[in-house]
Amino acid sequence: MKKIWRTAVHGPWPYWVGAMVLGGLNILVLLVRKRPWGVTSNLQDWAVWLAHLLGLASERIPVSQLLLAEGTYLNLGVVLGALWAALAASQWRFRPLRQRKFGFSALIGGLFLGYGARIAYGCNVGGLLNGIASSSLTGWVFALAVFLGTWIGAKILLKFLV
Amino acid sequence: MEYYLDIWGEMCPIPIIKSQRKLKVMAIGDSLVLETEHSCTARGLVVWAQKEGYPISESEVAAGIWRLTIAKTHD
Repeated sequence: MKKIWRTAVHGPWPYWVGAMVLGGLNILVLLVRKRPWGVTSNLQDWAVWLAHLLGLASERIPVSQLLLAEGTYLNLGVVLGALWAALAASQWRFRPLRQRKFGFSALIGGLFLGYGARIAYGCNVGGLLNGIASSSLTGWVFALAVFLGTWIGAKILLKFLV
Repeated sequence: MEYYLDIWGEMCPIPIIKSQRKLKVMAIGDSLVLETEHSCTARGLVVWAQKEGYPISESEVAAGIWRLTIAKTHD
């Protein structure tokens, strides 16, 4: 019992346990929210808000609307939950960038991920996971693109980052 | 002989590819020591070594820092 508790707090969780917890919570989100779990639509709304503030976009989303959006709290939950889990396992620490090229790859990768997720109307959560879960063709097309993208990404990684 | 590979701050699959290359030039009976501050890198290496049939020991030497030792038992 003590060992189970230690693994639960400290990890590592077996992959199948993580998958089942994620699946259960995903169903819960769908039941409560009446809409599947997604990440990037809300991030886009916040980006529009910031862009308007900086005078880069004419479209305006009021902050009150963003603070009332479920997506804001789902995303905050992901970040704060991860922080809490790392703190509980006493594995939280500053992890400085060891090589400059990793910083560049992270920035370029982040831009592609964000832009790609929005032109695909969803990321791997809203588009892929919940796309397939709701028998949408989008999810399968997304999966195909993920395999292709990963293959190209692996080539780039081997050439520049190893 | 004992070898050490620097994988600080690196994310999978880079440490796995580096380990594969290092193991190739090592002799049977040698061991490879790795240290990482990323839990997913430690996990990825353990899962990979077990799949390849290399004995691996893992210990969290400080909060959020893992030390792994892989024994090269076969080619």
